[in-house]
Amino acid sequence: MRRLTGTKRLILMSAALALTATAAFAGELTGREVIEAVHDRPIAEDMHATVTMTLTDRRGSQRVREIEQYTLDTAEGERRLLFFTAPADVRDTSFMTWSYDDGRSDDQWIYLPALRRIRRISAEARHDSFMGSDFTYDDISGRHPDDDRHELLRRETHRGEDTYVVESVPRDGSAPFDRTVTWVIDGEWIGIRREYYDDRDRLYKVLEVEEYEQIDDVWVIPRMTMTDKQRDHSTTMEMRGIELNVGLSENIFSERTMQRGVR
Amino acid sequence: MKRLVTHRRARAARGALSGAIIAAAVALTAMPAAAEPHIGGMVRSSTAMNVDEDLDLELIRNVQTLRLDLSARVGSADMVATPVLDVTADGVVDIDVREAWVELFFPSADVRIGKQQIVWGEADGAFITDIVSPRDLTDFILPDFDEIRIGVPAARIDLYAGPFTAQAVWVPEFVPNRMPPPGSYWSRTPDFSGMPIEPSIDPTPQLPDRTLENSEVYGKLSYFSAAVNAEIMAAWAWDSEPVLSLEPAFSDQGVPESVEGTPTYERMFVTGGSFSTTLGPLVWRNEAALYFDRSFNTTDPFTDNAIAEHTQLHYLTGLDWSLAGADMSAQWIVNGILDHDDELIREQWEHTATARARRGFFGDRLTAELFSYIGIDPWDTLLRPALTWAPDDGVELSLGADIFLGDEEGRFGYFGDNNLVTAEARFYF
Repeated sequence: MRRLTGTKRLILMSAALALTATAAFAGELTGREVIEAVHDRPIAEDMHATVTMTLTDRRGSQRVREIEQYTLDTAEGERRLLFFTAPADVRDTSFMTWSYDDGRSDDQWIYLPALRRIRRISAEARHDSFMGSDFTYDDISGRHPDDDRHELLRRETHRGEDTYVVESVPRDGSAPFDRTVTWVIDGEWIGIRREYYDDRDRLYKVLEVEEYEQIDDVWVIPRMTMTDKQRDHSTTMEMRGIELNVGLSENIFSERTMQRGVR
Repeated sequence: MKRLVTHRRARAARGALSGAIIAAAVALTAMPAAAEPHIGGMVRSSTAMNVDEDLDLELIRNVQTLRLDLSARVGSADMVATPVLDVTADGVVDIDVREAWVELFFPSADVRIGKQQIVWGEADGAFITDIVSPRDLTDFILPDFDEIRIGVPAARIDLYAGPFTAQAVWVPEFVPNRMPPPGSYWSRTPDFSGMPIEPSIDPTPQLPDRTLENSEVYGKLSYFSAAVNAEIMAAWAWDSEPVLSLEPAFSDQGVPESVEGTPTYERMFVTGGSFSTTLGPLVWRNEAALYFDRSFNTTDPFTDNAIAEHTQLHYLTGLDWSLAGADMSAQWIVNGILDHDDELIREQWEHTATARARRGFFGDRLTAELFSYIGIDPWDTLLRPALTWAPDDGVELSLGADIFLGDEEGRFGYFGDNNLVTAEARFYF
């Protein structure tokens, strides 16, 4: 699926949302349609934010990583660039991902200043921990609706919101989870909770979206926490200084910027 | 025409150092007015002990290191200086400036001038097209990758056009690899078994004269895309590895009495390239270079000072993948002389494999890693296991080993008595 851009996309998305909401009211929405609505939710043309990633272990000990994040919605998908600014041992590490609306696998690269090289990240490594956090590289870039088979389990009220509860089963066997269950707010199409279950159907991880707000008619998620229930370890990502539609150029999502930073 | 003169390394080092200190001072002076000054760095305590066959330990290295990472941005210019201070257990102080440069940036170009490390190619632990920055081999190949490279005084320009980057580098003064002093822990006595007279070696190398025609030029064109990252390169450069120029002395009767050898450096033309792409769940990396007119030692000191020029192929293919949360990597490296002849001391082909496994535990607080080089024919290996514990942000405690096994003729087996256990504490700030 190719994303539209600008006002045209907003108008079409509003119409699509109205239609899907009507379909939902009629009880005809499928799990896939819910997840597609989340995936196709209008987003900003581009965004810049400062992200604080807080890792908390079972003893309550915390480690904090500071990240500058840039995202851009392009004709073929989303581009995302993360720069670690703290702590000192990971400073200047950068991570870039190019996601595609047509369902192709993401392309991901990491720049490690100690090696002074940009490395491609293998497809299997996308399920590995992102910089020691409870998020994986895959969690950072997001899964495409085609990556999973989706089934609507039920509708329920969750945290005071009318939600769809959708189960998603990965199509390939490489994911470290066998299924996920996602709570999606009806009409706003934000997933506010996702549970990950392992191959023995035990609860493995929980993603909780703790804050979501609308800026310039676009929903953004300023705070979310991923908790590894089996290790009793969690990672909170908190965004501040969110700037939307600042006119980022596609050129900054490049090898040059990964090595030198945004100028 | 090349003219060789003898320099003392220390003199060259002093020159480079003074230039670098000036650049660092410029960077520091500019910092108060800079828009984005940054002072960071690292403190490290490093200890290495030799382990002999009876498991007795002998202290080989105990070094305290302070590295400062200084940077500032003023307008459209970035300035970076990285001074490093090493203090050994017996009080020897060594000051170096790893890098000190200024970079002017424009919408489609960067111009960087000063002492800098330049990294090319895709190889891990092998230097194929990555030949701009020479290496510090005084501790063999054991230092971290960012510490084994020596910064070179250079002017460099990067031009950007969509997915393409063209890079040109001019190195006005050749800087060779830093070799272990004769008799030191990592020095290796050359094999002269095929020579009619065993040479005596004057360890003072002959460096090219400091002239414009002896400067080096490097060029690279790279392409960055979702499908493939690729580079092609060419260089007109001095070989950073010395060959021995052997000068025989004859008696009045014309009988050879002695041979004196002097390390010397020769020109070569290099061209090559590299690429990486994905193959399903794998990342496939390749790198190759041809070194034309590269100088090698022969067993005949009476012809051309025992130096002959040949064409060398250096090639690597490697795969990266992930297995149960571990980053895995394997490489196969081929190094051969295409027009080899029996006069050469070196064998025609050398094959080396490398393997790496790295996994983080407890949210990357504990990292276990094993890196190994494996020489094929003669079989030998260097195993480098390491455990690193990060109790807090910016703090690392590591315990490792460097284990040399196999044929004593081999690159690694030769150091079979140099097995080390190492311990380090690092604090990044």
